Amino acid sequence: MENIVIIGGGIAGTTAAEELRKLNADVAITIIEQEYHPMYSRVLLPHYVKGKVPREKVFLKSWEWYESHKIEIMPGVRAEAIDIPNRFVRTSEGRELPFDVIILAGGGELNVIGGEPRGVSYLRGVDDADELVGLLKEISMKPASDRRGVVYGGGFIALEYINIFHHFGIACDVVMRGAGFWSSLLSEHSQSVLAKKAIDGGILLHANEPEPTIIGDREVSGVRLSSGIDLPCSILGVGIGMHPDQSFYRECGVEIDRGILVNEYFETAHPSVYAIGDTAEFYDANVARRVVYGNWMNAQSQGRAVAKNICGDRVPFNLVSSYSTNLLGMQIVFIGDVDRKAADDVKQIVATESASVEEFYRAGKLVGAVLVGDISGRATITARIRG
Amino acid sequence: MKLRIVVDPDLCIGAASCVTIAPDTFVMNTENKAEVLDHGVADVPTYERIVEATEDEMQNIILGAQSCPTLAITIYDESGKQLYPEV
Repeated sequence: MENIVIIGGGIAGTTAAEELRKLNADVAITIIEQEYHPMYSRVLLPHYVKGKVPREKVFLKSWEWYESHKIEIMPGVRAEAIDIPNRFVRTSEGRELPFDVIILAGGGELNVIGGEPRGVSYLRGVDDADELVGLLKEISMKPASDRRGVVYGGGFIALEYINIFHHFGIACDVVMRGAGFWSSLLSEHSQSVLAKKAIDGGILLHANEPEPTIIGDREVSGVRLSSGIDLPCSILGVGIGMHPDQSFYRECGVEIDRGILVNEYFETAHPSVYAIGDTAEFYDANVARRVVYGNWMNAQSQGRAVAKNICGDRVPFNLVSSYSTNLLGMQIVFIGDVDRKAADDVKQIVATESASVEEFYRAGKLVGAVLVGDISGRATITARIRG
Repeated sequence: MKLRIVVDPDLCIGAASCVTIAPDTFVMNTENKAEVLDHGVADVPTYERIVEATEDEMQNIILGAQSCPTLAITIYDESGKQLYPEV
């Protein structure tokens, strides 16, 4: 093994590179990364936007780190084709990189709404965060009555926008495609607890709006709902999820379903082709099926695990991962497999005005849970899923 | 060796990756923030603690700190030198 190529320099790919270097001092490691930055924490971006951490602290690696670890990073470069039989990657620069092993660790593609005047904001990367910081500075100069934002979406990123607007005292409407927050995942009760928290915080919710219209040509001035009502705003924060870049991987001959199909060792059907992180659909023994998890803990742990597998320490992946966030301070934790459609049974364990706990079962075994407002059972539930 | 382990509760978002990697050192409290334990034990709940650690334990505690997506965990050695995040 002489050359390892990693596509994607996020937490999954960079952790894999770091661990590979620890285990093998000589192998050539190359990371192909679309962005122009060294690895940074996407999870820290809301902290940076709110001014809780300086911008430089968002970056978890420096350019010098890659050099000192003999890891070649190719920033601003895309993989345009992967020739698996002949084992090389063609990059957007026209280079052909040979590999003995390749790790597919790219994140997904952001879902966008199209037609985007200034003021439409995404929170995918540090460039988006920089732009949002600028927009927030501009809005702070306006009279208080004109400081208005709209959030489009009802998931993790939407919650970050709500918290950011609230932090800066910006009045906020939330436009959701479904009936409520995480409408396809959560019970009606969980959604109602979150809706109440938002409404008590002065936020106006507009549900079942699959196609709101952006008002404004060069700069956003509002959002028009299906009812014809206009919601004025100067920032529209969009958080409507991601999808894996399936067509690219299909063209490369990699098997895809909801993500790139791999086993519990992150091996695809092709020898020496691995996939990890947000785009990998891996076999999770704890929940006895293939799953795609888009969270930090999962991506980082898979980076470490795949490196060990490649270097011969072949251990099946075993992690009950979780993701945590909050809505105006109300804690929300997702643990394990919370795909409602894949569960046989979902039990509402706690259902109070300010809390909701749901447990997801399949074949009689606990496989996942959602905790809203009451997270005291987190450790116990995690252990039960693992058990 | 002695380590001083400090969690910044303002930065901690409750990802719990530290608890997964170093469960003897970190535990989530009811506010979804990581508190520091001494070999699985907490006499009082605290975000900061000095812990006696072997070399292996130190490596695992640093791995736990490295896993934090918000860099909420800082580790110092007994001379006060910051071991993580590297400065």
